[in-house]
Amino acid sequence: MKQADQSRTLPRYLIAYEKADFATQQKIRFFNRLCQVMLVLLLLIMTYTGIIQVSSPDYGGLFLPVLLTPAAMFLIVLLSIYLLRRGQFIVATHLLLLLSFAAVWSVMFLDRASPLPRLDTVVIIPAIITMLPLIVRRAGLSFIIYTGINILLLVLFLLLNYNQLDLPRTYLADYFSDTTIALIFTGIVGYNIYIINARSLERTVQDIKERHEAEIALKESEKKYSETLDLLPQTVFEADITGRLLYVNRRAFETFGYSREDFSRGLYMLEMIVEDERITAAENISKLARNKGKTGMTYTALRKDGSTFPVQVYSGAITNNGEITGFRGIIVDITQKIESEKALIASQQLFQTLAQNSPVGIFRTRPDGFTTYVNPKWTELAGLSAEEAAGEGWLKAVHPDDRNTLGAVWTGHSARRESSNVDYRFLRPDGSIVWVLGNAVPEIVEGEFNGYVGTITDITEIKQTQKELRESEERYRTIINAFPDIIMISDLKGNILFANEHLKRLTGLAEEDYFKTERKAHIHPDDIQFVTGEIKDLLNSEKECTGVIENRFIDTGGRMHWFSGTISKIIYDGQVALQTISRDITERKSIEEELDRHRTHLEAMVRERTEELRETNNALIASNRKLMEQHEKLEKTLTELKQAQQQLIHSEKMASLGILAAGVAHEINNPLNFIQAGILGLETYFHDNLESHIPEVTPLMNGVKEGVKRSAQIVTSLSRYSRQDLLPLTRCNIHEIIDNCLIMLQSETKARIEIKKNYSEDVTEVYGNEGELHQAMLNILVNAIQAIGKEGMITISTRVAQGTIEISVSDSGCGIDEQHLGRIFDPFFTTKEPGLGTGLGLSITYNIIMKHNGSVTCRSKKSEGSEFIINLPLNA
Amino acid sequence: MPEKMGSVVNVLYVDDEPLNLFLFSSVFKNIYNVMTAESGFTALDMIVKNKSINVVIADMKMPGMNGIEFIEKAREMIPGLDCFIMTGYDVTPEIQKSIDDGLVKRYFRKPMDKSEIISSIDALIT
Repeated sequence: MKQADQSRTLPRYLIAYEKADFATQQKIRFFNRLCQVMLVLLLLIMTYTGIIQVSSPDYGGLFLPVLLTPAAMFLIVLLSIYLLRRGQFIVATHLLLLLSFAAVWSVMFLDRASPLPRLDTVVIIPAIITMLPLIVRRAGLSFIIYTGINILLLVLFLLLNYNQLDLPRTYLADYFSDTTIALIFTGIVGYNIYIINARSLERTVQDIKERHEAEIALKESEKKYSETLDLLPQTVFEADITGRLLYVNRRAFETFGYSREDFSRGLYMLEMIVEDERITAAENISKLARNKGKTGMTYTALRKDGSTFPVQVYSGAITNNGEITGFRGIIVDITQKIESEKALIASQQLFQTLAQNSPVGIFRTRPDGFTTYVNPKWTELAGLSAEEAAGEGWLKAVHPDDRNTLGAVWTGHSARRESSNVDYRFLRPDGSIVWVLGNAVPEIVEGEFNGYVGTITDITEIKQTQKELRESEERYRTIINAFPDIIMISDLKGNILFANEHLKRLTGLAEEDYFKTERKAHIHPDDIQFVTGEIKDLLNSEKECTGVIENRFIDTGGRMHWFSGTISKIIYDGQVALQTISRDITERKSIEEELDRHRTHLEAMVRERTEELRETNNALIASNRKLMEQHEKLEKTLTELKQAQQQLIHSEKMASLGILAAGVAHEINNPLNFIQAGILGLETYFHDNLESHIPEVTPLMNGVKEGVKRSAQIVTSLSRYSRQDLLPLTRCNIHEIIDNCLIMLQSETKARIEIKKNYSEDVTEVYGNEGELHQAMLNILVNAIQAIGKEGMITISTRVAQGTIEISVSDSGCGIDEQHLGRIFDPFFTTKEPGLGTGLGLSITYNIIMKHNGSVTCRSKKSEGSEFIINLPLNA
Repeated sequence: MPEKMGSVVNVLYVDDEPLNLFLFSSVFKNIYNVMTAESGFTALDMIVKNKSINVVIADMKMPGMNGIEFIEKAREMIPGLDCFIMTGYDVTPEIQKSIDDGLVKRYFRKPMDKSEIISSIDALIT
């Protein structure tokens, strides 16, 4: 900036010195002004001199020689200016200096006036010399030269003008020494000023230059640092003590999605993580400020767009003179790290799962056969635990008979680092044997043989199957040879591939004939077409074998045989082949022909007899059906009879019970009468004789009377219930009947079941058989009581409407299954245990109500209770 | 001996249980002139001897002669005699018939109801 100002202060025509140092430029400026001033002064001098010469009578007009000097000087100054502008500063300055000295000395030497007054003119010389440091660039030699020349000129002047001066010698010597000293002193002073200035300038310039260089170096270092930070793949930040971010690298903008404008507006460290974690982070920052916080904390970073990603923050406090001025740190995006960790875990888990759940045993060994790993399947197959199998322990599992073989194979392969593939047995601790196929592959990592990895496959079943197959083959061979018929396998060209010994026995064909095209023994010419036709059909169809083929055959001896057999399609040695199983039926054939003749006759007879039989059979079937129907009817009747019989037995039983009850009632009534009358007698007695005792005795008497009354009620109810059917119909009060029944059932309901009565206030008399109605109601009530397991309630409601009385008995008992609901009025239907109920109660009730032109229905829900509703016509 | 409407009421009670006889007379001795008999036969004998008997109360079930049979015989001796049956049974067709025929005024149930008997007898006399 300063440089720019300087260049501006230099006039445009001095542009050539733009690059010169500051001191030089100042000198040039001074010199330039000096020249300009000199031009003006010289013009003034010339004008002044001209005017004086014209006006002064001494001159008597222009005296050009005097004017020429300033004019020459004017031109020389102009030349200096020209040279200066051309960049010839040194030449210009020296020219001007020389001119100045020349001017002074010309005045000294050439002036017409007396030399004495001119002596003082010499003082201008030191004055000019003092200007040297101001105008010359390299002053050292100039001072000596200019000082020396002037001293010489001074000596010359004094010598030339010695006579004219007319001064004492000492005076002149004094003058000379003074002037010379002044000159030398001025020279020394000027020189030294110059040197001091030049050196201090040089020093300053050096200082400035050094500082400038340091500044540049610093800037470059800063730039390098900043660029390096920008290249970093992590976010780098610096924040002040309030947490406001002062610096972030370029990566930060890319990572967090903020613009530089956002940054200029002000962003805070805590804004870079999700809200939930800010408190934790703030605490950690405040700890960091006390140099106690942890670094490398994991946070969830928050981007400007609201998306998040996991980060790890490494930060520290910035201190200045022991005081914390802010924080700086690095934020590392650990998304990939976490993902790769996850992937690593997943991969480890995958291999773990594969190894743990592998259906084959897996092992790993060192080069010396020392086992380092076995999977669970291995331990299962070997019957050894992983610990037992470790090292050389696994050998214990190998069957003793196989150990040597396996050991030899192992040693051989591992020496050559080859894969091995061996069958051997495990003998497990429980004594069972497992056949396994061991595959081992050398594990070579970066050219180094680390040992073996391998699998163990359970081949016990395969071994077993192989064994069974061998045995089966053996069996098959035995069967084939023991088989009484010809078994032969031939290819499609007619070559015999295999035959059992019967082929030779029956046809005479020996093994050397098998591949001959023309054989002595062959199928009868008349049957060849038929047999080949069958074979073609077989080959073209999906059938596996033909039906039974019977054909003639000529043996090697020319004898004809009848053969009967089947031909099957089989795969033999990978080729379609024909398997023939054939039997010699020559003998049977002749018998057959004989039989054939008889058969025709027999068949006719059989048909005739069959027809006869069919007719008889039809008749039988018809009569059988009738019998069945009769049988069913009989069975039904029998069932009905049985039911009727049981009902009869029950009725009989009930009737007997009724008679018994009536008798008992009478017998009880008599003793009751004793008590009743006795108490009445006692009352009379007390009244007549012991009147004072009456208040005390009365409650006791009342107790006895109440007892008698209740007993009598029970007896009455019983006798009502047992009234016989024979009695004529009477008016029966339904409420009385229900109450009677309840009295009879008192022992069942007492303290267990609450009886709630909602009796109608209308007259509830029906015309009917009192005993029967008692029985009907009693059965309903008994059912209700039995339905209630422990405690409950029975509600009895009566209602009179449209000439009928409706009696509803509902209980809070167990209810009736829906499937049973339709059958409860059926005789003998019961859900009670055998012996606990006859299944007749509701049936009897139903019949009685029907007889009285009434109806009875039931509503019930399982485990909620049942309601029986009886409708009876009033006075009907 | 209390008098009702100026006349003495002679009540004959017939029952085969002697205890019943004793108790009955104990209960009613202050109200009526009570006589008792252990069987129909004895009772008939007493009626023959004492024509002043106004009221007869008889048990229904007795050996030899039941209550109805006895009452039939007694009424032959004293027509218009007021007769009652006292029974431990419920009403039987036979009793019902004798009530319907007017032979028996009404029947009492055992155990006896003193006030019922008194009101029935009083009703006869007024």
